[in-house]
Amino acid sequence: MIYLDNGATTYPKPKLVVDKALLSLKKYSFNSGRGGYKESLAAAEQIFNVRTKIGNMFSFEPENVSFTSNCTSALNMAIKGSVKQGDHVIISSLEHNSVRRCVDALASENYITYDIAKYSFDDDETLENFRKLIKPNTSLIVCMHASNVFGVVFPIERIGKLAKENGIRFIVDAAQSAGVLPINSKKQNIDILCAPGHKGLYGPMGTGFMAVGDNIKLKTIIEGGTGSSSLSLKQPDFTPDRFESGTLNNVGIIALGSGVDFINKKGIENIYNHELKLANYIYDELSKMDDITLYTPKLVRNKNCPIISFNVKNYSSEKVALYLAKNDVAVRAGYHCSPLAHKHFGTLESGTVRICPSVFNDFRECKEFINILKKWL
Amino acid sequence: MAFDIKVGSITKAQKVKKALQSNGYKANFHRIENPQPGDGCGYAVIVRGDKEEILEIINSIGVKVLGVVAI
Repeated sequence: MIYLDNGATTYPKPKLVVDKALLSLKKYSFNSGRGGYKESLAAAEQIFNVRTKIGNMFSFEPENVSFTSNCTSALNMAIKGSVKQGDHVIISSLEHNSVRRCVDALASENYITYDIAKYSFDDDETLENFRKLIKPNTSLIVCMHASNVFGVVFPIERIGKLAKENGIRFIVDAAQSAGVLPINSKKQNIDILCAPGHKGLYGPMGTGFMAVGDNIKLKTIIEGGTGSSSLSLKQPDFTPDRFESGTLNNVGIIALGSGVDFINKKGIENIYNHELKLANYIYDELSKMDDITLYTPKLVRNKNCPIISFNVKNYSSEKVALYLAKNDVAVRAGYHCSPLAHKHFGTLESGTVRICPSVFNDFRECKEFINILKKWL
Repeated sequence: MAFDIKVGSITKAQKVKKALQSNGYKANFHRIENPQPGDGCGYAVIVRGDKEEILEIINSIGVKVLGVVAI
């Protein structure tokens, strides 16, 4: 199989991630943060090490990294925990449903109002589009770092600065960029970073995290047992306990730590360079084909994640993906849970075919993918 | 002298342990053996050394000390 659906989840996982998952299942399947016996404490140490690795990668204190089951749950916790009745929220015009549905659910209950800032290939224009939507009651800006459909990157450092200057909280959805592009919460003025563990960080599915800056206060949307302050009816006011009710996914989290090790060892820049070269090779080849429609300019360093959306003739994107699947090429077709992005790029009728190479793809596979497509057209 | 320093959560206990270790202290954490009424569940760090210096290190990493018992 030629796997080019790494925007959905990376595959394969690095050997050290697989090995660590198996080891964790055997050695660390004890309830961390609950027991006092050595096995429970050893599991807790492993979990803490992963918090530290993630904290170091994105510039957060380890205890401010709360593990979640995926990026969507992290975003729900961050967004719903941040707003109060009457607040105004700004999101981008490319947001995934994990953000859009979340704010829309709050708006439909008349709890908040929200506006959508248009993405532009011109960063100045994107920034201006956010700026002009700011109202006196704007309390939150939520923006993806990179589009999960079109790969374009938002100028999050500048949007973060804009938010900071206006006393607005800034949440970044790093679903496609964590492990792919450098992220530094302090430099980029990010108050809360939400990311999955199973995409660019090469961890197992069922992992994700919400990392919060110092002094960020959030309401909880899930309460329960934390192994701390148990006699109090109140949820702990300290992280990560405040946001980690119930038993953690030790196996997933500990293996995610090995995913972070894998990235650190390879070098995030080396990974990105490799993926960008592959994506641009595919882009160039697709752009030579008359029957292909592309939606973005050629991928540019730091302006694009290695994600390309395209369509073939007037075929439905599903038809193209099915043809590719029959030829053992795995891609994603349709709307990618992001109707906003498709509306923005004018593909709401057709959807698109999305390809996304990872560190494990090579030129031979990309050439093969192009040949399979050429053979059909 | 050794001290048992109550910090509440296991994550805080581990952060304290790392900070003390990086300052040359031998430290470990464990579950609180005799929780006081109101403590509920929680963890403490056991460490030997100068109390003031130890508390200063813990304070410098922003962890609130819930209690210190000499042992």
